[in-house]
Order: sequence, then structure tokens, then C-alpha cells
Amino acid sequence: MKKSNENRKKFHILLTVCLAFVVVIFDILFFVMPDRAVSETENRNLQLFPRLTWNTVTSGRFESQFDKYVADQFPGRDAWIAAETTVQRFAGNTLSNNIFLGSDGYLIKSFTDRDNDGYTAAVRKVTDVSEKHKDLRQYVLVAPGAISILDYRLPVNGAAVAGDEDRFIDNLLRDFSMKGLTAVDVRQNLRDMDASGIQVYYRTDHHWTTDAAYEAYKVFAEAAGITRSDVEYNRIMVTDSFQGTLTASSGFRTGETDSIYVYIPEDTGDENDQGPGVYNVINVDTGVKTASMYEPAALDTRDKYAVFFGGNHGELKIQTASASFRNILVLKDSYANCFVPFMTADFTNIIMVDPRYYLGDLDQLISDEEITDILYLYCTDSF
Amino acid sequence: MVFSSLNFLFIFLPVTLAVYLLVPQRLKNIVLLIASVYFYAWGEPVYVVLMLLNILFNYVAGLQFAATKNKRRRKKQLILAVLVNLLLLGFFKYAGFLVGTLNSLFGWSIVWKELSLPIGISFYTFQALSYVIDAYRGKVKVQKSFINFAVYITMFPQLIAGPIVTYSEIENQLGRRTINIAKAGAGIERLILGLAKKVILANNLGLLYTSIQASAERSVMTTWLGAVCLAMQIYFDFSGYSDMAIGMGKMLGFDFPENFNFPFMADSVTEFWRRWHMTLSGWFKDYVYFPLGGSRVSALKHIRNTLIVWFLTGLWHGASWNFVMWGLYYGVLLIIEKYIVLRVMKRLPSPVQYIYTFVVVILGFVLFGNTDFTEMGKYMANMFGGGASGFIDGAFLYYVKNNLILLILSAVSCSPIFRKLLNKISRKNSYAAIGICLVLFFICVAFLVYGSYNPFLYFRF
Amino acid sequence: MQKKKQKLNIAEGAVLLGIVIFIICIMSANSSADVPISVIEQKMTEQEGLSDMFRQDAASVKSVYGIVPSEFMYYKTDAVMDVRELFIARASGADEMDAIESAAAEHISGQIDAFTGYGPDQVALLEHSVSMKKGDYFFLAVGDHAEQWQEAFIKLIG
Repeated sequence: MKKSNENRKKFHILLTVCLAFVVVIFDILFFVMPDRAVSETENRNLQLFPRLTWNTVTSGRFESQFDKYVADQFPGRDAWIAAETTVQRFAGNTLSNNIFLGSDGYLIKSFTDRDNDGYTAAVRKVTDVSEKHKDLRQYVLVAPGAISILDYRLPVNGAAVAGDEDRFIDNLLRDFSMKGLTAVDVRQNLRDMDASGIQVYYRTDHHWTTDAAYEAYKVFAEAAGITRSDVEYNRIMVTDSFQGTLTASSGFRTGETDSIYVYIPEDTGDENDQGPGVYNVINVDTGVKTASMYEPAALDTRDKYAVFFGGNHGELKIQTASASFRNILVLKDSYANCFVPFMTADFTNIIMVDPRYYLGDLDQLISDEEITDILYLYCTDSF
Repeated sequence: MVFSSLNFLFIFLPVTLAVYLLVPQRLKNIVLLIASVYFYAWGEPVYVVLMLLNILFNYVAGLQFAATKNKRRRKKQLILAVLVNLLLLGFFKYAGFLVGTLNSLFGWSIVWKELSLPIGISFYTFQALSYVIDAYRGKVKVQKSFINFAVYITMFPQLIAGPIVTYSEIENQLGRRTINIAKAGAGIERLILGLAKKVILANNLGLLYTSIQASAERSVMTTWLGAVCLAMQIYFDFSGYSDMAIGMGKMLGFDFPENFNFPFMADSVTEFWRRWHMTLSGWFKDYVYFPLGGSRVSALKHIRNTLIVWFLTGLWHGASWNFVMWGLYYGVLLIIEKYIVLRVMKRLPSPVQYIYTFVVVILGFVLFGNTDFTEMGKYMANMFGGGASGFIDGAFLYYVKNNLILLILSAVSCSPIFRKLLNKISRKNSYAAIGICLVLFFICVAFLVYGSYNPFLYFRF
Repeated sequence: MQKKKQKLNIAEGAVLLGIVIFIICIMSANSSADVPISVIEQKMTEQEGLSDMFRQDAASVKSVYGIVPSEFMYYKTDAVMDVRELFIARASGADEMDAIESAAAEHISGQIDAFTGYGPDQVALLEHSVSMKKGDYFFLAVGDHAEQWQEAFIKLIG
């Protein structure tokens, strides 16, 4: 009895000593280690010592930023985060920040069902423009996400917790068809492609692979009445250490990396400078003109997917050597970035517009550029 | 400042403790006062002034009692003091609610610009009232030292989230208290357990509840799972904070009263309320229920007293009708138990008693957790099949599997098993116990570094 | 004893007065002077950091926020990846103020969503954005100088 009480007292005394030691060590480390401005693993900027003024203190701004500062600059932050995700994994958690940890290291972004207002807004995203240009050929390609194509990879019963992307796409394509647009449904093709062993989505990013984009392009080409004169491509790997957005935002540090491939046309151009490999890319916002759709510098940054066109821009104009005399406006999100390179043989002018960043007048653009076709290419997230 | 933050745990607390422990006995209270005011001002840089004015007022009111012999005048002073405290609380916390209620009742459209609620005002007002009333009664000696009185109100472990410590419980400790390293260690043990409840259990249960609540379609089982998560989140959050408060109190040499005694082990509603937020029910008993006559009156008056107390208990928790409903819900149930059910119930088999209590308590938390009545109605209807997509579905299975360890740990933590286990281990092998505590602490730090989700549920108080 | 009682009474009165003054100060901090937006605009554009930001019209406000307040000034840059903006609006009533507040909150969180994973600098600026309401004015600023703009604005509307 006495020994037991003694032990208890010893435990308490030692506990105090240990904790004091731990806290002192971390405090010393905190003050000695220089503050970091950026976290590569989390892909975000870290809070630095906040601005100290009468205004910031009385409004509470300084205090909340300081709390964030201590957490962001805490010694060993990356290791602590890895520890947290390990604990979560150990506890069997497969859903973090709306991202599933699927089989074979796949991170799969969940889908949220839209309510009535949300669905109406989704349809209007296209029809607000399409209704005004019914005289042109218009196509809609709703790119599915891994959540529907790779649904078998979800953790058991995970699908019950996510929304129904398949039905959302069904509804959208049906409604767009009724409005006179040509609906391009690539889902079965992508499922077949996946079944044949080709990677359709990145493990660490929500985008589809270039292979999948090519397959989707073939489906689109058929719907657009393009007889594909066989353009031969060289499939080239540009990186094998791609870690996409899902790794950073999910917290699941799986350690997986992906490879990004680009398709370069074999035919680099004949003596008349004709061929699918010949084109100009004009960034209308900045006025910069280049001869490449690719931005190799992006491969040295974290956002390697930006190798396609250097990311998203308000308006990009691509002038090709194609003799089709079809000018196509692609209203897009980032899924189109690895899709558009396949269009150089089939359209004379390709105008890529990302409505999130476009500030101009679409109707004016359509008449100025003498647009003949419009392609609406969005993933379900963008609706 | 929030207890479960790295800023608090690694900067404020160690620095404060270091200075506090190093200064001589006579300076400890002033150090604690300064640190506590800083702690409060960190979260309320403007309302700290209000709290200090409140303390000054109550301090002077106390001195007036000491200086006045005349009974009638003392009574007038008491009434003034109580009124001022209640008016301040009412103005900052309930004015908007009152205006809204009047508007809906009478169709008026008074405009009231909502002021933000000073954190902790419900707690410190009740503590100040306990002093004022007990000083009037002569139950405690008037505190002549402003510093000691201010320390009583402001001391940071219990300022923002309780436990509600009455002045009489702590009167002697203000002047003399035992501070030693073993007591500090006991405090740290309590602190770590409380921190783990909050950071590891409560926060994650909250996330799970949020997902379930946001689903468009739920099965009956999923809805119940959500309600259970909500109940446990509130329990672990609140009792975790109380644990941390009691632990830090020990480090400073104070012995605070317990606030929770494993309420989910109760086998009746009456028993539940002997174990949940004990300092609040204690306060209402001493200062409202007994003065009204308590149970030593006719049955009718007793029922009236009970309902008044529970109306106020509900209202204390928040300026919204669902809280009042929650209070009255329990008030009515307690009356029914006392007069009708309890005798019958005690003869029923244990499992039945526990299931009854469980269902009642969980439903109570759904009332507590939803300020919006339509949402609440929908959720409750779901629990009994209305609007639900079946009895059980894939989502339920997923949530359970995905959070199995969390749910098991939470269920076990509702009982004293872990605490007793740690106690036993520490008595056999102190090193093993230290290891356990350190591992727990490090897991909490990991969660705090990662987490942006660390809700502070007491903004209503 | 009498003197002591008197002193206590005075002290009590003084504290109560202090409380009343405090409450009055808090309530007046919630209100604002009547300054027309045009005057605010004139003074705000003198602030640093605004030279490459341009005046936006109602159509722009509508497309970004979804609503057009009765009186407003809105400045932002033309560059697409630039999240800097300064938005000051005057609401005609509590309902309009609520609408403005929620539109602004939605806009900021939408922006954060759009740039998370792509633009950590933009996300940082958005997370440090300053938004406040005082009286019937609403203020939102995103940019390195957001806090300075807020201080200048507060001085203007008292």
C-alpha cells in the first residue's frame, strides 16, 4: 500500500520533470529555428510573425494570427503532420477533407450532390452561353472524376457516403442534349480503358491522365464529325515524381508519385510548315506568343500539371496549320489542358477560355474570331 | 486564448507557471492575476475592460456589506448588486434574443444591433454572484484584498469554461494553498487526460457528426449514430475542459470541485444530473432552488421551483429557445421521475434503466445541439423513421468502420476504466505510466499541429 | 465609519458610471459617421498599393459578388491571377447588410477554393483579408496593404 502510494507520487514528480523538459526543448527549438515562409508538403504559405499595431491587437487579428503562427512554425511541423495522418490511418480512417484513400494508393476526391438551386446553376453555366449561339456547332463534354470511373477502388461502403456523380452527369448530358447541344459521354470508354490496365486518373491528383484525355478526344472527334487522319504521336514521359493536389489537401501522405506523359506529334512539320506539330500559342492576357503548348519550367515546381500550357489562363489562342477552317472556342477548366493538344490537327484556331479568369465579352470574342464550334469541357467540380 | 492550442500549452502556460513558482508566496496572487487578465485579454482585447469593471463593482459591493450593519440597507445593497450583475449579463447576452422574441410575438420590428458576447461572462457573473450573495448571508468573510478577489474571478483555469467555483469553496485557498511538485504532477496527469478527451475524441466526433448532419439522406441508424457522436462530443469537450481546468488548478495549488462524474454511466435522468455539469446544478440549487423553498414546500410549489430552475438552466446555456426547451425537457422529466416513475423504474432490470436513460439523454442533446427548429425537427423525425432512407444503410456501415477505433475509445472513455487503469499502472510502475502520458500528449500535439478543426464550443457562454 | 461608507458609495457610483461609459463607447464603436462613398473613394485612392487597381462598375460587382449594393466603391486589378481587391459598400438597411456580408464571405471562400493547390500566395492573401462592418458600411480588402486600408477607412468614417 505504501509502495503503491510512493510509486504514484514518484510518477507525479517524474511527470512534471518530463513535461517541463519537453516543453523547454520545444520552446528553445521554436525560438532558435528560423521561421519558414512556405511549406512544400502542404503546398501553402505559412504564417509569419503578425503585424503588431494597436488596431490589430484590439481587433483580435494579431492574437488569432499569432496562434496560427505558433502552430505553423512549430518545430518539426512536417513530422507532426505525418504522425497525425499515421494515427488516422492506424485508426482506419479512409476519408479526410472529402478525399478517400482508395485501393492501391489512389486518392479519390469525393462528390457532393447538388441541391435544386445548385443543379440549375450548373446547367446555366453552359446554357447562358449556348442559348445565344444556337447557330454554331456546340458540344458538351462533362469529364467524370475517379469517384465514378474508379468506384471499385473506394473503401467498402465509401460510395454510400459520397454523392452520385454518375447520375449528375446523366442528368446534365440529358438536359444539354435537350437544349440542342451534342453531348459527349466518355464514361464507358474510360471504364474500358481502366479495365485494360491503362491508368486513367492520377493517384495523387484529381485530373485525368493524358492517356485518358486522348481517349476522350477520340470520342469527341467522332461526335464532332472529324475523320481522324491518323496522327501519330510519341508518348513521352516528362516526369515521374508528380505529387498532385490531393496529397496536400487530404493529409494522407501515401508517398505515391505519378508520371505525366505528353503526346508529341511525330510529324513535326513539312517544308511548308504544315502539320499537327506546328502552331502558335498566344496568351491574350499577356500578349506573349510561343510555339509550344508546354511549359517545361513547371516540372521543376510543385504544380507539375502546369506543364500543360503553364496552368490556367483567361484566354489563350492557338493558331494551327490545320486546313479545316474550323475555329473552336473551348470553354474549360483545367481538365482541358491535356486534352486540347490533341486538337491541333483538326481545328485552324483554338480559343481556350477559362471563365473563372476571363474578363472579356464572350459574344464579342465569338464574332471577332469567327467561331464555328464551341466545346464546353468541364469536370463535375466546375459545375 | 484556448487551452487546446499550442500557443497556450507551450508559451503561456509554461511561462506563467515558471514565474508563479519562482516568486515568493506573497506575490503569487498578483502574478496569477496579471497572467489571467492577459489570458482573457488575448481572447477579448476590448471586453477585458468590462470584466475588470464588473470585478471592481462586486469588490466594492462586498466592502459595503462589511461596512453596513443595518439589515434593510444591506438588503438594498444586495438587490442592487445582484441586479447590476444580472443586467450586465442580460444586456450582453440576451438583449438580441429578447428583442427577437418580442418582435415575433407582437409583430414589432425593433432593430437591435447585436453586440458580440464577451467570452466567459456567464461563468464569471455566476461566480461574482456567489460571492455577493454569500457575503450578504455571512457565509463567507468579505474579501478586503482587491487582488485576492480579482484572482478569484479571473484565474485563468476556470475563467472561460468553468467549473463554476463558488467563493465559499475557495475562500481559504486564496490566502494559503499547497504548491508542490507532486501536486503539479497530479495536475499534469489530469491536464493530459482532459486534453486528449478534447483533441483526440471530441474534435473527431464533431467532424463525424458534421458529415452525418450534412447528408441529404440518412438511415435511422446513421441518424442515431450522429446524435450519439454529438452527445459524446459535447461531453468530451466540456468535461475535457473541466479536467484541464482542475489539473491546472492543482498546478497552481488550488483544489477545484469536480464538474463531471461519468454522466453516461447514469441509470436515470435524476442520476444523470447528479453527474453532469455538477457545479452549475450546484449553483442553481444554492442560489435559486433553496431560496425558493426547494423541496420543503407543497408538491405544487416544488414543481414550480423545479421548472423555474430548469428554465433558467436552459436559458443559461444560450440565448435561444432550443436551450430553454432543453432545460424544461429535463425539468419535466425530473418531476415525472421523482413523483411517478422512479419507484417503478428501480424495480426494472438494469439494462432497461440504462436504455431508457440513454434514449432520453441522446434526444436531449439533439435538442441542445440545434438552434434551428426546422433542422432539429427533421433530425428527430429521422431518428424515428420519418424521412429516413431505411433503417440501416451503407453509409452507416462506412461511418462505423471508418471510425471504429474512435467510437470504441469514446465509448470506453465514458466510463472510469481508463482513468482507473492509469492510476493502477502508475502505482505499479511509474515509468510505464509516464510513457503512456507522454504518448498521449504527443498524439495531442500532432493533432493540434495538423488540425484547423478545433472548435471552441463555449462562445455562447 | 460614515466616511468609509461615503467613500464606498462614491466608489460604487464611479464604477457604475464607468460601466455605463464603457457600454456607450462599445455601442458607438458600432456606428459610423455619415460620409458619402464618393468622399471615401477620393481619400482611399490616395492610399498606397492602389495605383495598379482600377475602378470597377456595377456589372463587375454583380459578377463577382452576385449583388449590387446601393452605394459602393470597388477596385481591383485586371490580372487574372491577382486576388487583390478593395470593396466598400454602404447598406441601406440591416437586410442589405446581411446580404452583402454573406456574399462577401462566399466570394472569399470561393476564391480560396479556386486557388488552393495552385496559388499558395493568393491563398495566403485571401486568408489574411480584412472584412468588417461598422455602422451601415461594409469593408473588404485583399492585399498586402489590407490592414493599412482598413485603418484609413476607419479614420474616415469615425
